[in-house]
Amino acid sequence: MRKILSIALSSLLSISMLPAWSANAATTAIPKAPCTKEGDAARGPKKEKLVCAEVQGSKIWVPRGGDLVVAISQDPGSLNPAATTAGAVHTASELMFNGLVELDDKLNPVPELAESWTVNKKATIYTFKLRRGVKWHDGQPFTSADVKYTFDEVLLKYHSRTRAAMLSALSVVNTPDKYTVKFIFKESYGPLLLQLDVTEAPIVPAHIYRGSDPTKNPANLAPIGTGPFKFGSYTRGAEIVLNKNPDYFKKGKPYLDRVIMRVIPNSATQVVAFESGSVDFLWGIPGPQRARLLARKKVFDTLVTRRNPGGANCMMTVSFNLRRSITSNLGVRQAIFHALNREAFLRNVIFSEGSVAVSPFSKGIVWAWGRNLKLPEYSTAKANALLDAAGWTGRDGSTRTAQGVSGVANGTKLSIDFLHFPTFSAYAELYKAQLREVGIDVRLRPLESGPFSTAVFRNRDFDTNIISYCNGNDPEIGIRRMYDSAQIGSVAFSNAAAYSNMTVDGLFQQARNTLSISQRQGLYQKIQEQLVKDVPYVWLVETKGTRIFTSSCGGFRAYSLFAEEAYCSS
Amino acid sequence: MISQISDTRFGKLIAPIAGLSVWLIVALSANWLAPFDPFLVVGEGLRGPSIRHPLGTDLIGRDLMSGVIHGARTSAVIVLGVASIVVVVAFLIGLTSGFLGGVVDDVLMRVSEAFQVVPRFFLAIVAIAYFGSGVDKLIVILGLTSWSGLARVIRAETLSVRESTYVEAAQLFGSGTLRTIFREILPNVLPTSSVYLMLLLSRVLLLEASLAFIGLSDPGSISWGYLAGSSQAYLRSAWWVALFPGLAILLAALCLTSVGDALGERK
Amino acid sequence: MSRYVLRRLAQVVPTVLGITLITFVLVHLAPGDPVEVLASGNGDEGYYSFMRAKYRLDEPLLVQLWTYLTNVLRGDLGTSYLTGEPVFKMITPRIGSTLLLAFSSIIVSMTVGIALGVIAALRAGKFLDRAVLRVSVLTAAAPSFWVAQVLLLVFALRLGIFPSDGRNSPGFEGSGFTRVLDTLWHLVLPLSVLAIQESSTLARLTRTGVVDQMSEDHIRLARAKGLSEFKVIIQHALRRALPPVVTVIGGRVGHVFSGAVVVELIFGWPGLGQLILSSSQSRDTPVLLGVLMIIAGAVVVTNLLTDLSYVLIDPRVRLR
Repeated sequence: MRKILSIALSSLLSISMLPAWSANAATTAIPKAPCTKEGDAARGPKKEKLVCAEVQGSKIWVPRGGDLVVAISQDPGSLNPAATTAGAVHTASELMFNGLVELDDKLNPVPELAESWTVNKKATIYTFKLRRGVKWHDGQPFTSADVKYTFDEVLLKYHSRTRAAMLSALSVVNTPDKYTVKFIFKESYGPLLLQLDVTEAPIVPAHIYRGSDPTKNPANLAPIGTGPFKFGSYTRGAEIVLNKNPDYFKKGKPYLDRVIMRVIPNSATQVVAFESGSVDFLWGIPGPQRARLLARKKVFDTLVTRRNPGGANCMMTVSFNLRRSITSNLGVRQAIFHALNREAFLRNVIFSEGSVAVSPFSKGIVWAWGRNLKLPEYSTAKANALLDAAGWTGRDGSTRTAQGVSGVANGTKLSIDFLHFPTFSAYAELYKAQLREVGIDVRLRPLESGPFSTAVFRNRDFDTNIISYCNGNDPEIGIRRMYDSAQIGSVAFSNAAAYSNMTVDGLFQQARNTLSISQRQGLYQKIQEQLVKDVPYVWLVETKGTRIFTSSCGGFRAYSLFAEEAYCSS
Repeated sequence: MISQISDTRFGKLIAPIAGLSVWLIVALSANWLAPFDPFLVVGEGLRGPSIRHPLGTDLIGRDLMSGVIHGARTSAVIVLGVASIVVVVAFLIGLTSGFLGGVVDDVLMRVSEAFQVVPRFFLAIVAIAYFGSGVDKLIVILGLTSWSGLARVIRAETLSVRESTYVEAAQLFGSGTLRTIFREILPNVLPTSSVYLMLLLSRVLLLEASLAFIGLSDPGSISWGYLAGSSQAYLRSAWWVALFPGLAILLAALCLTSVGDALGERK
Repeated sequence: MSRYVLRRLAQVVPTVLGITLITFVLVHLAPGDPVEVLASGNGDEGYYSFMRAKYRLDEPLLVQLWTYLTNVLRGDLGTSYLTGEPVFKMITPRIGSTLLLAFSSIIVSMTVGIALGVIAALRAGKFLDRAVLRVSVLTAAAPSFWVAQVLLLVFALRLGIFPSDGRNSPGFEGSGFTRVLDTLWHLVLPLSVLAIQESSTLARLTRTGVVDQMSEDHIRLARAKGLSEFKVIIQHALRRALPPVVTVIGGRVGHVFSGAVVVELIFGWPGLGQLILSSSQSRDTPVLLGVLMIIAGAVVVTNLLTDLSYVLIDPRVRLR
């Protein structure tokens, strides 16, 4: 009897260990055959309908129609990307909207809802000429009133990055006529053109939202946008179906009939769904599965990028609460920096999908990251020496205690807390493990977004925490808010450390008022040199996203509107 | 001959009780038994079983065997903690309800029904989300939501014993109420209650694992549930991280239910 | 009989209200400011006071509780702090899914469990009996996310027979019969996880009950009458053994709902389990209270139904 049981159990287990064989494993990549005239139609070798289309600058034959099934990890709860920077909302909804100006893969501004623009000499007035004939999904015409409404009532109130960057600098948004928008700034403002894509400033319809609370308007669940896909249906907790917008202002696009976003909260299930063929596209692969999936190159394709729907150039950053006695000590902060083996974070937590930070600014902002900066290197010896010098020389088990530390009673344990989103628990545990080696006890406090923001920004009730600060494509977008003393407040994801340095504030202001890239670069270099001296944060690792998709689909972009030019053979 | 012994009630108890004792011993001597500090990074991440790390290493390179050993202690603390709360509250309420009857009985039973109706898991999720995770809070939450079933069982037994003649006889002869409880009621109540308790405790272990799977366990202490639940995503590439702690839970739950079954078996 | 029914029905209301009371007090006593959720990370003091006044969060706890209860009795479960949607609208699309999953698991596990229990009792002491016993003990002790993962890997990935996630196929547009079939096809795996664990418990209970009955007098009488062994078991022993089993089912409903949370998360089944997790983690109190009340209500009603069926199965039962 026992034999039969064990045979049954082991056969069950071994079936699951066998290399995969599933119905849809045998897909082949679509050959990228060039064509000449856009819009031409043809039949492929399997009699499928093909159309000559533009994909990333070149014209190739692509299959017409088809559905793309994308897995998302969270039910977004809202489909309004202008009122939040939450990744889940942006992932699900960006395809339905547009920004004024897009950024190509080299971060050059490219016309989108705006077809041309001029900037005055002092960079205080930006004038945009809007595209004519653009329609909202409900047929209403898109005009400058929509742009003004979106900025005044939505972005500058609820979008944390755009608000932090522009609210204090912008004087007014004027609309001299239906197709002209003028941004008037109080002083020279350099970075505007990098902040107008669909991730940082999506435009929502004024005629739908005017007079209501944009965060609670029912249109958030059935949005009207201008984008390549229209809202089809939203089955809560299950899926969001987007249909092709036949009147999209970029004629001929999109090529897919539908994009279906499936809510699959569990990452292991996402991989199973992907491998069994019911899902075509994943936003990311869980670390331990990477090696295995990437080896199947014929069947799957990947795309690595720093730009995500939740923000670009994201860096995992540990913040110190500069207002608390233990972490206000520079020696302690430097010690913690030295104690963290950031290579280990790169290897074990994100499985090399990214890089160790070499400067406070992300390397993704190619011209602005600090060159030749010496960030505190991994050295437990130095960490221990610094902690000893700071007066933490006593011992209670494996934890240090204070012996002559100013502001701390003798005998107090060196015990700090660490706040983090539950999804970042791997970072938390490695942090705890590494600090334990130098005698620091860490109490982990996992908190979801809401309670996290309250504890960190409103109540300043933390010693250290970790945040994925998305730097954006210009330092004004996502970096300044971390260091500007004017950004110390209760707004979420502002200056968590409560860092306040007048010189740095001044340098940021100067950089914002300058148009010349080389001049701004010099200023940002000075800022970063100061930041490395002051250590208000630990710049851990820069993260990248690896999108993986079946080879029977293609044409994906590494950034906003990822499926605008995508195609799938059915 | 062996099957004859193992078929007796006593025989059925040997293996599971041995298992539980091993658990207890490991839990008490965790600090000496574990080869490494379970919180320290001592090796490469996600490496399979080897001589240095017989059960392999976890995601960030901590020794899994030390984790499982310390997990035995945390899980034991949780189980014993919940058991204490449940036993104390259930006995108090069950005995009072059964013995006194009437209005007191009605009210107490309504209260216990209210606690029984909302699924424990949901209450645990809510409580942890609002008050924070932590082994101490978990014990209180699970304890306070698990006593109602046992209270009913005790009450039922108390009622039936109370009716029986020799209790009346004892009271006629002047035994005090407390003595009656101890000498007459308790011995009759114990068998059924212990069965129920064992089943309850095995469910507590599994509940803790499910909470950890959702990410609601105490990150500051290593428990089997935490190890098994949070590593579920690696089942396919690093099976050892999920298997060994899960096996520990399985075996411990098995021992608890086997003891319960054996105690409940009628001759 | 009808007096009993009425009495039980009358007990439902205070029980559900009692649960609401407990949970309401619990979440409002918790540290943290509910206005945080309302403000969604925005705003200054002015916005906070505005929101606090709008949702009447400044009033004493008892007053808030009273307002809430009276609203509930009028059918108004409040609006979500996070999205402003009526709570009712958030719960309704999901509740069907969870109820479908929970009740179909109960029905399947009842059928399978009782059948297995009878088989084990018929072959008491022999191989089949011990096999059923050992398998059921093992499955009851295994963590449910393990069972779910194994089923997922074997049946959805390797064999490709059942879908890996969701309630319907991606972008499914059929309706009526095709929709029902599609849903049932997606239901199989999540249901199996819950049913495997529930039926093992029921199997053991049924077996014990039937075996115990077998030594009773009325069984000997039935045998003496010349009835086949099968008839003896089904018509006589089972009838008497069922009541405790049925009572237990009522108690297991809460269990099944709990188990459904993990299953819904793994299989992406769009039910209340996901909602309760997301609303408690974001401290969206109105949604949370709404979900808890609905679940409690479902459990209470099921208890009531099982109590009533108890009476139907065995009319000799004395009603208190």
